[in-house]
Amino acid sequence: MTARPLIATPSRAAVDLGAWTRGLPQALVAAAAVELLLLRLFTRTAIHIPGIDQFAGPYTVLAETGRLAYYAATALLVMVLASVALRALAARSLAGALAALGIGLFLVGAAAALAGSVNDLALAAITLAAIAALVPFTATALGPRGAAGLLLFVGAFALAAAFRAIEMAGGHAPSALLPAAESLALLFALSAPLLFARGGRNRRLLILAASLGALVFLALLANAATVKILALWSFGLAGYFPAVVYGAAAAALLYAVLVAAHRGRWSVALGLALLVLGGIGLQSTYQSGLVVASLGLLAGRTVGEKPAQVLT
Amino acid sequence: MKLPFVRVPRSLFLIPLLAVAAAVALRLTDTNLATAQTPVLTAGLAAEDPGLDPDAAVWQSAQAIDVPLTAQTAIYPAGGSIPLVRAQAVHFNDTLFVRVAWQDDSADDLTDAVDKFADAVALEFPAQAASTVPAVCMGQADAGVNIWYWRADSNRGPLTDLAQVHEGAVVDSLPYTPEEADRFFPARKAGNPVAYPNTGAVQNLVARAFGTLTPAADQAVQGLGKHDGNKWIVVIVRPFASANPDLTAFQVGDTTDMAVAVWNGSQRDRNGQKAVSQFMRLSISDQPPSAAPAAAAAILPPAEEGGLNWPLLIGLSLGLPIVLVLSFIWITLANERRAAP
Repeated sequence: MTARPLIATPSRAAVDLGAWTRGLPQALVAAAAVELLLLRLFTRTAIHIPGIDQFAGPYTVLAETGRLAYYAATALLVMVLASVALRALAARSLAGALAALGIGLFLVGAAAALAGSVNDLALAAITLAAIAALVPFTATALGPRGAAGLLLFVGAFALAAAFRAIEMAGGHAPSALLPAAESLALLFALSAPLLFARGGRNRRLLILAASLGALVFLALLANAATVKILALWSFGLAGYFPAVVYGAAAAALLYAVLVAAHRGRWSVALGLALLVLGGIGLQSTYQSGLVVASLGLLAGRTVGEKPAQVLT
Repeated sequence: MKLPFVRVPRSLFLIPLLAVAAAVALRLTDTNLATAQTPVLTAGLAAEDPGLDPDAAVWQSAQAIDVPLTAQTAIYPAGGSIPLVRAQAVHFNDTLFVRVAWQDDSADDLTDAVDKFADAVALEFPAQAASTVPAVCMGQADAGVNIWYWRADSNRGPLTDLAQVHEGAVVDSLPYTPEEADRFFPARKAGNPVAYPNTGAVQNLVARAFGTLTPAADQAVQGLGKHDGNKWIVVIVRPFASANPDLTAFQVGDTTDMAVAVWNGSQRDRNGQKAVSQFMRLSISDQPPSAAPAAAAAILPPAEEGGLNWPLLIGLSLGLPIVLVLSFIWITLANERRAAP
């Protein structure tokens, strides 16, 4: 009798959960992206446009759309987390069970925080534990290169979150934790094409990604103060490095997402997109939840993908 | 062995529609499913009046949080100048005391030339009349902000004798009568608070977006700063209550938002060129000041004097990556062992 593996390798964990995830992750990414663009970025900058009062109608429509996108994203996030937990359980492995437990713990912790039953420090610990619980499951699905990228992001998140958690506990965190976290996050972004979208080059997608990178670079040059506070508020990045680094990171990350989507590796594309939308560090349970969901999506596959290893 | 897969009805396509319905319901009931995980600064009830003294004993036991700031720089492509500010808060006799400290080797408190800029710190709060949490960048039309702005040069006091700085300067007497004084003091005529040397070290300002920063009619905010050679320590004080809806107000049991901005004069920080934090939560508690939140103190050992909790630091900063790497290695080896013929 063939021994069942301790951890299901990607080729064995060919559980067709495409029907479960069909539309859900895509809808979550779309809603979260609209929320980021309209609520976190547009409404925080458009109010400073001279004469914006004359466009009160369109501004209100866009702001309300952003708010609805936020509420839709929170509802979808709960569904995606539940589906990812079920997929992890269906893998019938220790790592899968651990991942499902982590997701369940996060959902319970977020609900308890909403009810005021758990303090900030406990919530921070729950968030970190949930992410740690997902790492083995996701890392084995991604393979060595993907796992290296995963650990870069998780390391960035952990360092930024550790800074906040130490403060919550009454200690004084080393200030070096924050630039260290940002360094890892930027390294993750810059290496994303190599780790998640290797092989071949698509000129059209490259131009598109480079355009975004140039936009980010120019925005930082034009108004570093506003752009950096938006980056701190939305992604947890304080802007310790020159503008060109952030432009290159944005371009590299977008290229990795676009190439993965172009090749039909939707789990990678959607997972990377959610990592960006979630950011690093502890901002809110919504953003932390996006990161938890992204780790789960990176481990699995949606409709259209081959049941082989997620990354070749 | 083929693992079973789960069949799901095509009705799953309806899930996004249900999500939209849920979103509308949440919006209409204004129910937020998420919880903020931003820092919380708790202002405890002090046993005695700490006054404006940055070294008052009460600050030894008050909770302190390190707030990260954006890495603002005026000289590209250098890095940021002030990465962190340490904030503490207490209240006594319905008066809020906020103490902020940050590393700065140079005490830039003399602005006797146009190319010199003062060190400064500002605290920003939502106005009472704000209908929502305002944009941290100077507020917005429907949600103004109240800014308490301390400057090192105002803290030092007015420069009464230009000859102290410009030894060769010659000043003719200005032919004006008291009635014509405003003609020769345009800044004072324009209402620039810096032009009034005796208004104190802290300006009480209001804003409703860029370009609307205005001194408040009520200048009840006081403050005092001290530079000890390598850092500034500033205490800013204001009574809880304020009748002006454009100003902020406090109450025991309430939680409001607070942001911090710091200027480094030697780095030519001024106006919008500053290091800014995102909003943190300020909670006014009726309990005595505590170095650690009460709930955290119940499950963790107390922080050592000086604030560094070494067991927690090691556990969180090192333990997590170690657990991740070890678990990854263990799982990989176990898998290979079982897969081997």
